[in-house]
This record gives sequence, structure tokens and C-alpha cells, in this order.
Amino acid sequence: MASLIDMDRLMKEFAGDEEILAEICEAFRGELPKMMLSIANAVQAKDSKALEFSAHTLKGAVANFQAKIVKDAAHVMEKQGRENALSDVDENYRKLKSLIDALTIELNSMNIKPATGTP
Amino acid sequence: MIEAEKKPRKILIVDDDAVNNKLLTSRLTKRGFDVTSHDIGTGVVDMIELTGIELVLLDVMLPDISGVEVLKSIRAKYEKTVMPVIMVTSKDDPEDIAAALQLGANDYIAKPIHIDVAIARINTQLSVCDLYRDNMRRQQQDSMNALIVAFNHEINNPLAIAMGNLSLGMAKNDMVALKKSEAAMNRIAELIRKINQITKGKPVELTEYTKDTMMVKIS
Repeated sequence: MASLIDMDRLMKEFAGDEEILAEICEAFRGELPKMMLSIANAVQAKDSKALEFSAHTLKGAVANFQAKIVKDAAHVMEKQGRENALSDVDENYRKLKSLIDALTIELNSMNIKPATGTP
Repeated sequence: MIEAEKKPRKILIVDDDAVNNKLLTSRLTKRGFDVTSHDIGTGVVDMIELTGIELVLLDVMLPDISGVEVLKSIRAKYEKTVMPVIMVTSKDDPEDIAAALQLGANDYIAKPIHIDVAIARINTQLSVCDLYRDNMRRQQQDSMNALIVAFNHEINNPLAIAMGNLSLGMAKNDMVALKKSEAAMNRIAELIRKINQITKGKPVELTEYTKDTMMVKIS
């Protein structure tokens, strides 16, 4: 699979803030189980409002990593929740879960170090 | 003012997303802002009051109440020029952005947040508020100056008459002079009563005293 993260854009956005990017990766890994559980619960309960909110939160978090495909997948679920159109929500959740797993692997393999000369 | 004396500007981030919250807090703190974060909409107005917040970055979607509702409660208490609010939203929420701007949001920034854009927008709003505050202070100072000019102008003449006639009356036991002195002092008392009314909130009307000086009109 091609890279989910647009590394060029990510490194450009965090230029000079590499240590913060490393902290955010850590925070994201810590928050991810909770975020995915909220989405899974909403899907299982067919709770459209909870789905809209939880998918929106995940979308915002993954957007920070310039992971457009994953962000779009979260957006699809958010929209399903907003429009209360939950017909293929299970399938979309599986797709999202698979993308999130791949994103986590990519984040784990990133070697982010503060740039030399960074104050 | 030298750079070292500048106090860090106080910013409140309201966002339930822990990752975004941490990200913005870290990046703004690194750039010299004094950042407080809050993850629900409830209590935001109290927080502004208690912690001397100067600007709010407010997420549109919050778990308890919507960001737009939080904005309404802020605007019920603070005008745009006093407490700037920048909405933080996804690019996919144009309706939320429009609603928030109509309800008094100063600006918005889209997620993912580009830090340079965010800081430029934050600084713009803080500068606008600073200018507004400076202008208000200048207007207050001008009003005070005009009041002092009016006080001097209106009271000096009767005071001189009262003092002169009092000296004359006492030296020569001249009752006419003493009566004149009393009349002049009554005039001063009347002026002080009118000035007192002005300072108690009666609308202030200015009139030109000299070419460059205004004074409060006392009538």
C-alpha cells in the first residue's frame, strides 16, 4: 500500500516543531483506542449523532498527520451520522479500522527527531 | 516598550479532541502565548472571567453543547472588540462557519491548523482589540481633559469675584461686597452641582474652548 501520510507536507508543516510532532504522535497513539471505541459503539448502537461526533473527532486528529485518505474515510462516517444514513456503516467502519491500523504502523515507523539548530 | 516586558497573551483553547488540544497548546506555547485549554463548552464564560483570557479558539463541535452555543454565551457578555473568538472548524463545515460569523465570531481557522496562519489570525484579532482599547482610553482621557477645562473656565471667574469681594467686604465692612461674594459663591455651588450631574452619567456635550481644546458644555 502507498504511504497514507504525505510526509513532505507533514515535515513542512512541522518544520522547527519536530519535537511537538513526536509528542502528538504519542498523544494520538494514546487517544486512538478511545476514539475508535467511540466510533465502534456508535456503529453498533446505530447511534447517528454519536457516530457523527466520534468520527468528526477522529477526522480532526488524523488530519494533523496529513493522512488524507484516512481523514476522508472518517469524513464519510461523520457524514453518514449527520445524515442518519447508516445502511453500509459496518462496511465503512471496517475500511476505516483497516486504514487506521495502517496509519498506526506508519506513525510507529516514523523516525522523528528535532531538527538540528532548533531552539 | 522593550520585548522582555511584554506579557504573554492569554489564549483559551476549547476543543474536546485531546490530540488537537495538545498540538495547539504546545505550538502556541512555544511561540510565546500563555495557553489554557478546556475540553467542554460548559464553563467557558466563567473561565474567561476568572483567568483573564484575551482570545478564545473555539471548536465548532463539542461534546456537551455546540461551539456556536458557547459563542452565543460569550457574546451575551463580551463584544467582539473585547473578547475575540476564532472558531476552529473543519473545511467541510461551511454552514457552521457562516452561522458562527453571523453570531459574532471574529474569524475562523480550518483544521488541520496551519500554525503560521493561526498565529497571523490570532495576532490580527489581538491587535484590533488593543487598538480599540487604546482608542477608548484616549476618548476617556479627552473627556476628562474637557471636564477639567470646563471646571477651570466656569469656576475661575466667580471664584475671583468671590475672593475679591470677600477681601473688600471684610476690610471695609462693606455689606454690598459681601453680598456680591455670597452670590459668586452660590454661582460656584450651582456649577459644582451641574458638574456633579455630568459625572453621574448625564450625556456629555462638548463645546470648543480654544482652537485645539474642547470643554464640557455646562448649561
